Amino acid sequence: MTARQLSTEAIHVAVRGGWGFRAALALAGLLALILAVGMAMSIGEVPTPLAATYQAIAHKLFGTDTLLSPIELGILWDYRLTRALVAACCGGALAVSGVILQALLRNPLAEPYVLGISAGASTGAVGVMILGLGAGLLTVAGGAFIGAVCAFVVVSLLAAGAGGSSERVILAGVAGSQLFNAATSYIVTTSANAEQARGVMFWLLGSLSGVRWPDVYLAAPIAIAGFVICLLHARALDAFTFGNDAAASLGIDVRRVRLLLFGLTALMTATMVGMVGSIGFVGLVIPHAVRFLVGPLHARLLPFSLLGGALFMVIADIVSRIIIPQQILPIGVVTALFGAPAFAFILYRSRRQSL
Amino acid sequence: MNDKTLKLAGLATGALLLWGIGSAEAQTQYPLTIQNCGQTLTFDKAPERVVSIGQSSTEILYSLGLADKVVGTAVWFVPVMPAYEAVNAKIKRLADNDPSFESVIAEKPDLVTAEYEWHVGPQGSVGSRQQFHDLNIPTYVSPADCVAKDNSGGGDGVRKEMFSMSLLYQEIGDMAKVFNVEERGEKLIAELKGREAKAIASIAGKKVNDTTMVFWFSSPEIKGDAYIAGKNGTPAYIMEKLGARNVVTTEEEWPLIGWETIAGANPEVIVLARMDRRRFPADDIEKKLEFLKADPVASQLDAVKKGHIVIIDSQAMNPSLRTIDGIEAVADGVKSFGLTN
Amino acid sequence: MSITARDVRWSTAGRMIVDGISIEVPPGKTLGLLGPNGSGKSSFLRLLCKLRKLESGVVTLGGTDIAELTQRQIARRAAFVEQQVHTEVEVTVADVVQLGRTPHRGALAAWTNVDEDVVTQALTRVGMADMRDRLWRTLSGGERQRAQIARALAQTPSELLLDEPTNHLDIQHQLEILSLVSRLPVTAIIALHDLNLAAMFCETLVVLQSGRVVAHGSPEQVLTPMLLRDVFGVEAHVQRSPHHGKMLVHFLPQNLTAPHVIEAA
Repeated sequence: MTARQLSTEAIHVAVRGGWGFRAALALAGLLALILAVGMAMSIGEVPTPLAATYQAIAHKLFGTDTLLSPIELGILWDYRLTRALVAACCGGALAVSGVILQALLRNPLAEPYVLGISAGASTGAVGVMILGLGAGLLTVAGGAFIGAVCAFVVVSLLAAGAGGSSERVILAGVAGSQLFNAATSYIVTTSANAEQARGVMFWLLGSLSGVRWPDVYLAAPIAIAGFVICLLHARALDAFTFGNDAAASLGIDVRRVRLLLFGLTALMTATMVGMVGSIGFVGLVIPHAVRFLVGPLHARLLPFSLLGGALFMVIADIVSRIIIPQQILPIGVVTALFGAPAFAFILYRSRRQSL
Repeated sequence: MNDKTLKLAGLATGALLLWGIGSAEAQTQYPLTIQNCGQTLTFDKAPERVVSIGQSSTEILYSLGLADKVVGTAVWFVPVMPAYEAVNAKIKRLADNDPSFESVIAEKPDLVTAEYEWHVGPQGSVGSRQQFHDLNIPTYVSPADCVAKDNSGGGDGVRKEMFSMSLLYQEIGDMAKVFNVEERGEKLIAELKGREAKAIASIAGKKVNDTTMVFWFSSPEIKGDAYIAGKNGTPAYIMEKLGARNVVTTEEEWPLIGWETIAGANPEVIVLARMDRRRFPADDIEKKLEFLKADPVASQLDAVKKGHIVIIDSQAMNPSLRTIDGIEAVADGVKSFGLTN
Repeated sequence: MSITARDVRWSTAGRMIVDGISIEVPPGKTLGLLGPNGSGKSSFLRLLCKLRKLESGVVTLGGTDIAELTQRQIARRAAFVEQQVHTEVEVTVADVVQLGRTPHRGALAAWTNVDEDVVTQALTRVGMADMRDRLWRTLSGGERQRAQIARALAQTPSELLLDEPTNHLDIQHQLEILSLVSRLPVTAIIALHDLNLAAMFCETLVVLQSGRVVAHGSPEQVLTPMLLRDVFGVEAHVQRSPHHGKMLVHFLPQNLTAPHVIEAA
């Protein structure tokens, strides 16, 4: 082996061998996340001192006195904190979904939207926003969720009809996405005026601006429960390393596990997309980055992806709020801006390694 | 008749004649050439068949008594002004939103008027001005949308100079000249100017002492970022005329602003748009009011707590005849809140 | 009986691949599965461990109908090694072999000493104990095969189903693996191409053609010049080797005749 090959292997062994390393990484990650959420509370269009963040938390949790005005308190607690928490849940859920799909579809390019979910959510959202579907009883988020589920069902039927192999699933997802994207475009071009089209575009690129505490109460349980169920299947996911037959030969009920996990990722993704719009790259890039750090075994990959995705999104949210004064950049643009080069870097590194 | 009576009769007739000549309407000289939004338009005679794309342009034509010349309309935001309901009902409505190019030229117009460049303009959804001019159909775009305004970026555009009602008066004047009804045009302008001056004077000429205001049109998501009036648009004009201050400083016509930013500015008065359109949930004025009362931060704004909220027609927030209504409504509101000194 | 199959049938895409196969393998015995490509060997092995659904017939493992067993119960006693597997995941040899413990571990079970010992022993048996931390993608074809066999051994099976396990191996490793498997106290069914290896290491041979059994018995009974001509299309001379006492096939490639189907007796 050449020196380069040896050193690469050495790095692999070092980062994957020691559980001490992983424990330290987990602790560091958790601290980083808490810190990021704190930063998200302190940073924003309206300047607030760092001390205000502590005061706000202390006041809301422990009832201590505070000099903050109700507006400042509201901005910190009801606006910024909820944004950060939902961003964390969203990022974590999307990253975990990405891990699941990459494992089940055995394709490193798989990510949560490969099942047509994002496209379906967009169609549902514009249906409510522009066509007024649901007659006022349905919120945009609700419409998006229903659209996402419909797209998932369509794609599943297509995939099953085409044989159900992983390649067919991906192709069915492409077909489904194209179909629903076309429907979205049709609705926008025929029914929307310029102002609406802009509003739709902002939704399609992701927006955390409408988030309040009720959204946290929805996002957090779904993200956490989804993660726990996936973690319980970590062994099963490892078993899929060499394909469906290999997994079955190791005792996995392939049909049941695939059905459960595909359905779970669809549910998690549809909920998040319905709430905040389609935010890309998280589900694709975070699993790869985490794999690079802790290896491919899912008992480690899943929790670290949850953490990594959450951290990434909270930071992306902060960036989206401060990068342009007085305006908020759609968070999907930020994740793409950082995610795309990161992904290119990861691809490049793995290309060199397999030489 | 004796001599005296004859002289009186002669004087009277002479006076009558003079008065008749003097009051004869100023006639437009054809062929007429006018400049409009960077293009030169020539008219051999008053147009007979006009297609009007844009509610404001349409209502201007109606106000000039030219409804009988209008053969097709499109782009409606709210129901037509009540005074013109009857005449409007007889005119073909090509589309509530953007009509197709073919549907417009099917009416064989000899003039097309447009309120917005995004309908008839370089990236016009109906067509470019050249497309119409190639068919010998002159197009008139409202000066309010092209003077010192950059629409190339899409959306609602960016206004470089503050909007002014004089842009609308220019449109009225141009239309009056083109259709040879200049007297009616002058009368309408005088009436509008009079109302504007009266509204401003109604707050006793005393400036509103820099009261901060924000104009909220609508939002894609009711709890999310809001379309708030920019620094140079019609609402900015209204605010400037009344001596108020806009909390928004961007030149974009209708930027999306987060509620954190609005809360941080804590405006003293909030002006809301009422409209019949129901495309966004926030279009509904009731939903806007509900949000202001229920949102944990917005409910703490001074304007909300003290009830300093003015509701005006959405058309008043964009360049149109109703802008004057808007000025009157905001002036009334400000007076009733006791914010004048 | 460790493994039995009674009149097993299976078809796909309108073609009958496995057309009524019946066999019985006593515990601990090694059975060689022979036959030209497309004769149904791989599919039959898959049917035995319930990786495909039987169209008709019954398969039993240790006397129990597999239709009544869950995939996990089957995996605890029967291990299957495919001809070739690939993955893009950056797994190590140790990761791969550890997968073999999956059927024995619950979702939350920790890694035990027993697990560790089994894995180490499996690696030692295939001669890869010093390659634990090598990455899968850096392995040669033969090393990958041995790693998979180690994984199967880590399942501590009572039945081993191997689909052409010696394809990419050096002759040394071919002999080692087959020798290991035949010595292990497990029941083994090995699909093989090499007739001489089959004769050397398998107590019983089964020959398939077009999804049917055309010969079943000891190597002496099965490996006849007539069968070799009819099923494999080769001329050969078969005799007992004076060196190791097993049947040996001498191929005589000058004459090749088209095989014709022998009706199952």
